[in-house]
Amino acid sequence: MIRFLIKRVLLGVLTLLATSVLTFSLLFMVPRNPVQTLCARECSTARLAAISHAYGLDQPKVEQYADYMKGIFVGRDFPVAMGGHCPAPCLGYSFDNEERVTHTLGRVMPVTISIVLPALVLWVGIGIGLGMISAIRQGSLLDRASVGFTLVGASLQIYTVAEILLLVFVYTTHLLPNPSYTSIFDNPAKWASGLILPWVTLALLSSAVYARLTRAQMIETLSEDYIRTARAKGLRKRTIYLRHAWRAAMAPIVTIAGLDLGAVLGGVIITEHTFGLQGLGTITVVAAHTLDFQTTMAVVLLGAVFVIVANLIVDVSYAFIDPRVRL
Amino acid sequence: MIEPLPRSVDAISTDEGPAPSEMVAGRSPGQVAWMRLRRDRTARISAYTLLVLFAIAIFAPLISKVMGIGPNDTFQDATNDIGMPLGYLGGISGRHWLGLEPNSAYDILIQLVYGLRNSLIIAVLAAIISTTIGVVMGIVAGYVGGWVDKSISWLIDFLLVLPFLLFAIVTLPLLESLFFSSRQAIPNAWEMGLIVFIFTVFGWMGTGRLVRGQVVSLREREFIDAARAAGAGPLHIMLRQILPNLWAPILVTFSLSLPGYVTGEAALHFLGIGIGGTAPDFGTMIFNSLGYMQTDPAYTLVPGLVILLLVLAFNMFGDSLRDALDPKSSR
Repeated sequence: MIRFLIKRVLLGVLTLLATSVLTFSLLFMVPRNPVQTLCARECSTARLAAISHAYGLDQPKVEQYADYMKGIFVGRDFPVAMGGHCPAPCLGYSFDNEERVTHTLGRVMPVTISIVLPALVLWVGIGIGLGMISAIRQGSLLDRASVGFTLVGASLQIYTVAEILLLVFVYTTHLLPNPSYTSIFDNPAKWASGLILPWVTLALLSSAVYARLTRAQMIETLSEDYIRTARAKGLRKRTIYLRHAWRAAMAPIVTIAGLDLGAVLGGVIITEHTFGLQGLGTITVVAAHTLDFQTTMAVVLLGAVFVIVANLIVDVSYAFIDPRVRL
Repeated sequence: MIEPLPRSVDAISTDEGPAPSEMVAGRSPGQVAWMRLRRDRTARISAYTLLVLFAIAIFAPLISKVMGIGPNDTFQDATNDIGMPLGYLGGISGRHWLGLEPNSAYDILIQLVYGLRNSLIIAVLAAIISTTIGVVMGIVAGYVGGWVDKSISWLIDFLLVLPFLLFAIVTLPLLESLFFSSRQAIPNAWEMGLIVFIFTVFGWMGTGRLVRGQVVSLREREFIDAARAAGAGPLHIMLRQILPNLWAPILVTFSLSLPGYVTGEAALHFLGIGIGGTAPDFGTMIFNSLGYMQTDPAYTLVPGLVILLLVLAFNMFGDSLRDALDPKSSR
């Protein structure tokens, strides 16, 4: 177990390093000097060069990369105009936002987390619950309705769902306010009412996919011999479904969930963009547009860290879900 | 004297000749799959839907000519002073079947027809190229083994970790800025090419991993030993002995990858990434329509429903194809 963990963590770190090198070299192909945005007001070539020098942008690329990585682990020093010393997880300074990237991230992360976590609870709950019920009641009206929902739901697009929800709940019936972000600590009720549409939008599609997977897995598991044995020895239905079948059916679903996380990130970006929420996704799109190198790099690294860590958790949880797996 | 070995195993196995027609003829796996597919109602309906949509995409210029409306024609005289189309439901009339776009005053139907065309061109190209790359990488990794396998497998694992849409969002403006300055309009063909390129780079790994797994187990089978003993080279074994055994999974992943590219392209344009071109497309239409949700809901819903129909048909057909090609399935 420990050896496996160490091996996986090392592999994850290696992948992260490779991602950072790849992104860094990709972004450095850009024929654009970030200082130019600072110098929108007429700037002589000499002044441009001086500023570039102060920010370390005239160094060789390899050295700039080393500086960047050093900034993440031990922090680095910026000119006073950029706020002086930048402590340990320093992700650089965005010339477009005129602030440190960590500041920008600190501002937008609560928004994204407020969208993702409740949505996650919703879609896991609805998806797995619906899948289980329809597998147990195979062929019933509920099962058929749920199969229909999963088929259409998995093909729906986030923006289409968002449009329909907005049209029904905000523009026609005025049941909900136009989606917006309020901090949960300021006003929990407003937080929930402002974000419920993004939650439902993000959760609906994923729950359709997971309901479908769970149903297929559950049906397969329920036809296995050990379930028949459990039935034959007179166990209660609830025990059979929840203790015996559920655990075996979950293992493959958890694996797929791990592989799916990249897609979830994409879903978050589209959801934020549709509802106009200022989260991680929105700043990613803006940064990509303006070729804001520092912010883009930070967002990509953050995305990779998220996927790698989540995959590690998935692998470890495998051992807990399925007793046959020995790490 | 030693007899020359036959050049391939095919030469031995095809000696029997055609069976007489009165005999009970066995069906080839391909025939069985085809028969199952034809009996499957879902497959039939989705296949017809796809055929119609592909026909619309292919004959888009013809439709445009018949309707007498080009993709860049505007009808400002059919809108009021604030750019909203006159008439009901976004200006639906005998001439404009789905109404007009507010503000730009494009004909929605023609925009959709061309959007479908562009979307399908990108999706089909990306699917063909990425599947080809995946198959080649998978076969080479699985058959050659050793460090080649290790490095290809590592590359697959690495690229799979990178979040697809995030990387597409980041790389498309980057590549465009490499070739064009920000003031320049980007030709449509270039933009589509760049999108296909990015989709291919980040899209081949699934097929690659699947094919590699299959090849690793096929490699140990007797018929490969036989081919090798008969003196076949590695290229012949990979292409003529192994590849024909992989058509079923390749076809399934190919058809299931298409909707992913359709939605990926729409998502990119929806986010406003890579709209240097002027070609009509779903994503831009949907994003533009968000602002008119209260005033012109028909405009908002139509492109979304077309994408839904397309993706649903692709998904259902792909699933049916998988069922039909699976020898274990009893349907």
